[in-house]
Amino acid sequence: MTGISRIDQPDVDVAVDVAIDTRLDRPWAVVVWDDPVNLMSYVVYVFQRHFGYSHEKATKLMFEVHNAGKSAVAHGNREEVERHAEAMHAYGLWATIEKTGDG
Amino acid sequence: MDAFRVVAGKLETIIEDDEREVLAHLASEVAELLGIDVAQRAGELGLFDDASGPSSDVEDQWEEITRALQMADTDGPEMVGPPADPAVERLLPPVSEDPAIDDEYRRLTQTGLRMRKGDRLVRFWVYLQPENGPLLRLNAGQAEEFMAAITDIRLVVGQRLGIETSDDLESLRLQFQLGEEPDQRAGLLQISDVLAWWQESLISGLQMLGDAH
Repeated sequence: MTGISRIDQPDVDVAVDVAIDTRLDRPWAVVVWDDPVNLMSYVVYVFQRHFGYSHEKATKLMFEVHNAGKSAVAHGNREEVERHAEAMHAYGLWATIEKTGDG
Repeated sequence: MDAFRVVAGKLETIIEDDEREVLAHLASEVAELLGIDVAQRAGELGLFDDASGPSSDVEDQWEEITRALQMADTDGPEMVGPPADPAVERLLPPVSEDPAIDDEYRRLTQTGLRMRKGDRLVRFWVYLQPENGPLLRLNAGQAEEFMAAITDIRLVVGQRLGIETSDDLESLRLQFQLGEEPDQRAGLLQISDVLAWWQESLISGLQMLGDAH
């Protein structure tokens, strides 16, 4: 028993480390999804207004959403992308957060 | 209903009484889905005297819209977790496929988002009360709220029309044009289209205001 728990212990630490790492450092993305209701011009407006993107960049991202069905429009740690997703939801856009890369 | 125009740094339009009533009614229905009574909330926000509130015959007049928008299992004002009504879920969509992430997100944000959307619809509703007259004049901040409130109304209407994809929208449009399915939904789709056009004029107006600065 004692032996086993000594072997288990490092695993627990690793798991905790990964959780903290994921939460604070690993890159996450906020993904905006295409929907049949929102106007293209509105989506461009929201991307410019919320993210401060140029009209050109906002338009490019909007077309990615429209043509590919979704687009990762911003990256950050989990807290940051959650804040962005909340802002998108407030504007009525469909947004999710995704962990990018391994993790 | 006129398109919004930029006049002296604000966005203006003229809106007739019957159009006001439809839009105000839609806003009150969507707010209700979010658990908010517009007249009561407007009173709480000091925007409206509840006692002189709209008469119930307005409600009756738009009964068809009400029927089309309401659902039996509405989410109460205490809603936590994913909404039961799919139209409310469009207003408060999931942030992740992972239920643990979504639950945590909803715990942190749902009440705030719900109130923010509700209060926005309340202000939209107040602007459209008949005593405010036919002229609607909005500054940039108000126009942005107005636009977002229109979006929420269109999201709910879209869900009630069963529009999941752009193809659904097109086929529905075609059905109504061919008159294959004459029902109250044709009116709802028309309202949604008019709102889209109106919203478009707000967006270009806001862009003009932005460019002017």
